[in-house]
Amino acid sequence: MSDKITVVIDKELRDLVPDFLQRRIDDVETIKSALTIGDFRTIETLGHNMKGSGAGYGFREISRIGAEIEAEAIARRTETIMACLQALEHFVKHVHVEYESL
Amino acid sequence: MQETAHFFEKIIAAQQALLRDDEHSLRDTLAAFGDAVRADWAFLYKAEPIARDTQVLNPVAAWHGQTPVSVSAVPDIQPESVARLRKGETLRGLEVNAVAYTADGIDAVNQGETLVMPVRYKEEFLGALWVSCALTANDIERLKPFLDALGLYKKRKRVERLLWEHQTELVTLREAALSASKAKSEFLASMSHEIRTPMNAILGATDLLMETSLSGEQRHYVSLLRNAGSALLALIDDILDFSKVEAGQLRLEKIDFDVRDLVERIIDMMSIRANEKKLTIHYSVAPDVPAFLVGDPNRLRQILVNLIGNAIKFTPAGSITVSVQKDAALAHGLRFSVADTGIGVPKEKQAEIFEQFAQADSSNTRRFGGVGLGLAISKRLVELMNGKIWVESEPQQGSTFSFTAQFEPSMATDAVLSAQSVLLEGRTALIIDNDEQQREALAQLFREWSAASIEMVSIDAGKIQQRLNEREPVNIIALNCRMSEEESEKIVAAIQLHQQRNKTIIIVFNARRQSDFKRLEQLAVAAYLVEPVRRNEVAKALQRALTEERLQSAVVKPDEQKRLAILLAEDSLDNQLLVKAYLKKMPHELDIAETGVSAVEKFKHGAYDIVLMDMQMPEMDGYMATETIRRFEKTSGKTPTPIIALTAHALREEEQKAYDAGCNAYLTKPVKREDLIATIQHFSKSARLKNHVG
Repeated sequence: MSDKITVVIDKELRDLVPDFLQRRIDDVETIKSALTIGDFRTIETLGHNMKGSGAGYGFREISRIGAEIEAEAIARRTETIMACLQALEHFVKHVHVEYESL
Repeated sequence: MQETAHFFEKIIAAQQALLRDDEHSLRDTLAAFGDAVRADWAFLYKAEPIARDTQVLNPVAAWHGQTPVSVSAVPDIQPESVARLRKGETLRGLEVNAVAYTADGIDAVNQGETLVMPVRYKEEFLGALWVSCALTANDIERLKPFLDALGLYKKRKRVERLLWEHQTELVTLREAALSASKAKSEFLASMSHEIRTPMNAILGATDLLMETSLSGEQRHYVSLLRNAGSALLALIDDILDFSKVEAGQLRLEKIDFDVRDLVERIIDMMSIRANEKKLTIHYSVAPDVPAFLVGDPNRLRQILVNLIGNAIKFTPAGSITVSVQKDAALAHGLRFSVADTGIGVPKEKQAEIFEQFAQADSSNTRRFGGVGLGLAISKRLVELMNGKIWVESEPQQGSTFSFTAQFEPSMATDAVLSAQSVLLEGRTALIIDNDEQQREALAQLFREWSAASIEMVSIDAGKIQQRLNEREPVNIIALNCRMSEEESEKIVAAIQLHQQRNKTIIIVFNARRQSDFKRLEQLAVAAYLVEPVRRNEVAKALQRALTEERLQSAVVKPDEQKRLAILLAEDSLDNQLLVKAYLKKMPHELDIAETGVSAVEKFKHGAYDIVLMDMQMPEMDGYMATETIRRFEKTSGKTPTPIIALTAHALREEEQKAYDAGCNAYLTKPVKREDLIATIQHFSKSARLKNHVG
């Protein structure tokens, strides 16, 4: 039983999706570094960006995680942010995109 | 002669050394003095008080010709001799009761003719001078100016030292006061939090309890709990507020606020309570009151809510009128009045009620409930705002509470105010209302928003039906429900037909009866509003209705679409790419700015048909950028370019903020492609018009 997560996305966005997901992986690394120096401002910005763009691409889950990261960064809660990063990594690793004309 | 010359030369030198007032002064003075009188040695003492009437003489300088001598070699003059010197006596060396501590080549005590002279300033004993030679009365006479100078010098030194000690004491006191003040404000802040936390828990739990299934009796008790809890919380808030003001801990904010909007919202809020008691509230803001001011709107709200709340509380029947005018006496000042037809305040009590916990009449407390600290706090807040508060009242006829307050002018210009505009170009509006004032108030708004035509009609089903049957459709109908059931039936039916054919936007005022709401279900009502006409409320309702309309309009085929120059202000790379992808199939030219600053720059130097503005950007956000663009357009006389707000927030306040800043439309992220394209298309119509004209 694979825990593949299937998402259907408009084929117009086919060229953009791989880079978008890669940037989220990069975000995870950036956020981890930011946590070590307590730079919650950067984390808040990245979370905010994810929240605003995720669902636009078709990834509601990324928007949801982004919103949570943003809120937890404002509250400066490291533990929860780490949990969000885990969720994000899991999602990106297991997501499978099917492109259709929407 | 030579002797005299030498003497005076040295005495002058001695005085000069004193004037220099540096670390060597005393030593040099002593040396010059010793030289002047041809002595072998000389000692100088300072008088130090050790008890109220007792002093000791401490050696401060010693001189022994060319030989260096330490101050510790100086004999210690005993109290008995000190007392005599204090009285002004000059003592012969052998008379002096003194103790020598070291044999340093000076046997002052046992040496023959030596002299100890007191040093005084007026009657104050400041020290003594012991010199190793016998001086005649004449000599001593000649030395008097020098001794006076020495006395003056010592006096000055003593005063300086006292001042220095006081200063140190003052600094210590000041620091203590500051830290006490800090402790007080920290205490108030933490107490405030400490007290509110359990109170909020109590009220929250009570609310939850209300939602469970309760028997009638239980519900009654829970409701008592809630009321008592709310009252307690309000009282605590008042006490903490009052303490803060009294402790000088209260600071007023300085923020821009919209005067009319603030008053309207307060009236809105208080109308509910007023309506419960069947009281009417009227309000007016004089036309010359500025649109925006800088001050503390929250504290202003506090005062107004307090006064209006009291008016409601103490008025059994009738009405309450709130008015706002410019105050002639204060620069950028306003005068607020709250007039009621209530029980009034007797003259003797009119001054007292502004003091803590005073009541006009204790019997009224039982009837109407107390006023607690409200007026006392209001008074202090008003005073912080540089104003005055007072009451004019006749018992049984009513009261008018008035206050003045000073503000600062706001930088928010007209451009911002008119930016919150609704685009009603090309639309026809029909206002159905019997009240002429109401009609006129609405008509004024529609005029301001460039409606093509505005018609007004009173409640007459026949006339209305006739008008709606004419060929020219009406886009907007404002209907006032203040009419009989029969008329309402006919008119709503007529409107319904018209709306079905023409998709008319309908705003309803004063729907109160159950039957009204039921009847109006047949219509698609954009908003239910209440009298009096409030500009911001009407604007909001129309903006929302227009947005809905826009989103529902059919999408134009891409090749029919005229090529537009679009400016996208968006800091997120992901979103930039997304918008580009959405608009791929359209012929539009997309220019990207990453911050508000760069968006404004590009706008000024380019010619864009539409701006897509992300509201949350670093450096300068979308609100500021929009305001700046609107100001620029106004000053350069350009027609406003449609600005579409893109924001991650879905809250009503955010929507309003976007409109207030000057945006014409509002889309929430994640933006759907269809919504974006439909919105762009809608505004391309006006863009086409713009290009055509200029």
